[in-house]
Amino acid sequence: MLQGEHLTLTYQDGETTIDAVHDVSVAIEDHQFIGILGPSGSGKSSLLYLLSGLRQATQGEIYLDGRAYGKMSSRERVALRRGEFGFVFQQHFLINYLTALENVMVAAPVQNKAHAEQAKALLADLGMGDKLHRFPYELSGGERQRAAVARAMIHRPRVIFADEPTGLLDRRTGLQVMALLRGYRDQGSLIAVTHNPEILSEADLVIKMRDGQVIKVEDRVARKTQEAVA
Amino acid sequence: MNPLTPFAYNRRHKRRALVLTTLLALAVTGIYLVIGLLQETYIAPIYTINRYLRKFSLVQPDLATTLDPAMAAQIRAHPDVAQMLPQNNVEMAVPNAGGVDTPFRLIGLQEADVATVLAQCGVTLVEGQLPQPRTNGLALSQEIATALNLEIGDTLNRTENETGYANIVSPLELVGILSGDVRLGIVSYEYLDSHERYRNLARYGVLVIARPGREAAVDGFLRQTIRSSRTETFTYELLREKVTRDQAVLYTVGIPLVLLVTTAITLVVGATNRLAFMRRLPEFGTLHAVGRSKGWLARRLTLETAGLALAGWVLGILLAWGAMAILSAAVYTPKGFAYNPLQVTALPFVAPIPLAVIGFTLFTAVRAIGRMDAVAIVERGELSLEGKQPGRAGRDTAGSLPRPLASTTFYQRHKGQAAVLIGAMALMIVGTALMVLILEAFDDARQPMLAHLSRMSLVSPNALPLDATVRAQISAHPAVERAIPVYAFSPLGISIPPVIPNYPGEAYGVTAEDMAYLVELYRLKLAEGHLPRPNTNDIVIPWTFAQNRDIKVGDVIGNRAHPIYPDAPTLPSELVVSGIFAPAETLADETWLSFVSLEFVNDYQDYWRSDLSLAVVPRAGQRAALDTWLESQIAGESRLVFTYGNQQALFQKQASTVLFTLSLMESVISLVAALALTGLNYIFVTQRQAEFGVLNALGFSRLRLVGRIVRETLFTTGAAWLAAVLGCAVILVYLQYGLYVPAGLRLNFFNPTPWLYTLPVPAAVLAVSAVTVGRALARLDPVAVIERR
Repeated sequence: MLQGEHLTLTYQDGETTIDAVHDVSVAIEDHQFIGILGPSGSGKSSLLYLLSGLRQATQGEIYLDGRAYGKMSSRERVALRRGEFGFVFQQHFLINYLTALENVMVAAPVQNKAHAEQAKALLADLGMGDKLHRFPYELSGGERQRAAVARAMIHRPRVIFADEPTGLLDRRTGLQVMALLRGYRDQGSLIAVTHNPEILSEADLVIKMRDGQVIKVEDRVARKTQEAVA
Repeated sequence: MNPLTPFAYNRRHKRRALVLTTLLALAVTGIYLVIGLLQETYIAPIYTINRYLRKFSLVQPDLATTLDPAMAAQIRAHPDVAQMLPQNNVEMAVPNAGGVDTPFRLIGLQEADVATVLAQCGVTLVEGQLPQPRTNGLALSQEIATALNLEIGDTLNRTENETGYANIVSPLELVGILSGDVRLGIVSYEYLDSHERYRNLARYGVLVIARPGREAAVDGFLRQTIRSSRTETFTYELLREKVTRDQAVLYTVGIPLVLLVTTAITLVVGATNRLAFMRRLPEFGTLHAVGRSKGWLARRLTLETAGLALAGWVLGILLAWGAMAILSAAVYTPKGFAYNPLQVTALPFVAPIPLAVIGFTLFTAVRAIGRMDAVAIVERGELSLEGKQPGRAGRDTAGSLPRPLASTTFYQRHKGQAAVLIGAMALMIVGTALMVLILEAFDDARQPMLAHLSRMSLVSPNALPLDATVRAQISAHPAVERAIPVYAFSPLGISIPPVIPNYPGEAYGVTAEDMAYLVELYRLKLAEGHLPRPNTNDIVIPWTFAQNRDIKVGDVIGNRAHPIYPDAPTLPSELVVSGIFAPAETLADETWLSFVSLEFVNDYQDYWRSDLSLAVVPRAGQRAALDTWLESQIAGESRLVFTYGNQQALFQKQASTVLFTLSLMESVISLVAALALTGLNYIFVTQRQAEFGVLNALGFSRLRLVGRIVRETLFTTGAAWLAAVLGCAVILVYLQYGLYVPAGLRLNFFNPTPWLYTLPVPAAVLAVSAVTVGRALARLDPVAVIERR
């Protein structure tokens, strides 16, 4: 479904040229949970920005169902993000003057009553049914991130990109948020970037990165299958 | 090196400092230019053109043609009078740089006295020659010749400017150019005296030169002892009084303008300061935590803004001086009214701007820093606008809105910001439209002054009586329904606030039969009293005049000792108000005509100094043809023709000249307003980079984001425009019911002109905001926003 081939992302830092991502190829199937693991500066977030269309690759190409990002206009890539992808960032990035419900509605395909009901139900499923009309500054860190998760899910995207979604949360809350995100696998794929291997314990595929390069790909589904066969 | 000086922040935030300084400078420049140019266009020329009154005074009889010999002897005998010279003069108009006519006297001097007057004024002949006795020669100061576009050998001819040169009944030839600090126009006394038409028209009197150092004493003597209802005196002190009155009008218009712009600019700077303050909360929290008192922090914040405010103020004044220097050289000097660009008249008007800005900053700084919790700030690490806002929690939690990205949602959640933006813009819009509003109101109010010409035209003598042949020719014209002999004069004037203290009103001396006809023609109805009876000193006046001057039936007008209102004209014989016409139902039907008995006025013909005019009533449907014929065939050097068309054109020319000048000046204000408000809007938008970055990451295109900002700006400009229109309506209602109705006047609420002036500011803000925000968002990098967090 989503395929990156020989991806390289280069940028200038003063007079130095840095390869944030260097010749990385990945393939993601529907309903997969992909984890990208690595220390700070390993290029994992950059890879996520490339796959989600937020950045354009210096070299290589990305395909979604065979459609190449490089051949899409900027407008088409924006439309792609809006229609097909959902995002959860390390920071909640909720709009401060909108309530939790309104923040979720921001990402709804159409802002009508039906979607408002859907957003309410989604927030209720995420345990925020009594906090629909609270502003972000009236919510705890975990609640904010749950609202951000709801925002990422409201339009039923094919892929949710999560960039360090638990980075600012305590362990327990972080695991709760990851459980919510994992639950989305029934409807679409999840690509999560983190430096914490614990939250990727149930990932189908873990890509380990260092210095912009993939150092190891751990296909846990295949391993489990092999183990089952053995 | 002290990193905590008030200038350190501005030095490290040059762009912000530059924007604020420029905004303040432009506001100062705008106001300075408006006030300065109004002063130089409408006030200063009165001084400039009459500066000769510092060198000598003029005395002349008010009604009689020659000065009482006893009075002349009294003046000559005064110990402080050095010389008293005979003079006669005719008045003409010199257009000032704003295109408005300024009265100027051509003084007739005997040959022997010319050198004395030139020496007294420090004026020398630099080209040509002085006027020879009994010739039509004219010597003019260089600046006046420039203003009139005349060179040696050219003639001053009434046909070139029917209104301004109405008294130039025979051409005068420019023979000499004068140079000096004093503007003079000198003609031959003997020429004016020997010319049949000038003799009837010229005013005769004396020119009084004081002994050196005794000018004030002579001025006082002439004003207090000689000046009376029968004797006019023109002295420097009286000129100053007149200029002071005119300046009061300028202040009437200028002060509200200054208040509006100052308030608006203070709000703008206050809002930007608040934003900057919110961003700097961690800095202030840290400084407070390490031992800087809240008073110190407030002082530092205020001094930072004070530095910018003062820099903007100084820069604004320098810019204004520069602009005035350019305007003086490019516009005013070629029109003969060069001025000193470093004038300080406008200084008091721009002084409130930095003071208000500094005061408001101090107030907001003390208030905000007073509420600051340093521990919370330090603990949280960073607190910005995105952080919790005091007082909001629990208040806005009533419910969510169905369309979170609607243009109203942002301002519904940021009421203070909306109030500042809308309030500042509304004030700027009102500031832009204010002068036009007042001018148009005045223009509407004076419209009835011409209404009598809508049903007839007037042919008046100019220096010579209308001859019988012309009268017969007019009466016999097939388009003429009736030709009525009238004495046209102005026994009363009305006050049209806030700019005209005494606007002369027309009265006709007519026979009883003609009076009845005219009353019927104009559908005038008596509210009280009766029409003037033949051979009596009765006068019937319009309701507006009665209301305006608080005149009642039985009151006496024209009394020398007891004028009916200050500065009321003195009449050779008193008139008694016998009746007052009822007000017309609509402004369009209003006619300001007074009537007296022709037979009575005729007895005082010598005093009236006004020969018989002819009111010409056209047959039905023939007015246009008749007016054309009158203007082309009857108007001439010795006859003036007043038709509705030519007088309306004159009105409009005057109004449009002033309106054009005001438009130029107000465009400066509009520019400042648009820049200030666009800057503020831009700052507000750039504060929301994170929001836009995330929305862009979530799949909202830049175009859509720009569209959203444009819709939000449309909402604020629309709301501001509505508020401003409401403000203008309130001002109009005040003008109508606070000033005009008590003065018997009415204005036209449906005049579209002032409303049109409310449009440029919101239109400019909307357009410039769309462009600047569009450009800012074009550079938006959502990843940078996400990573920065």
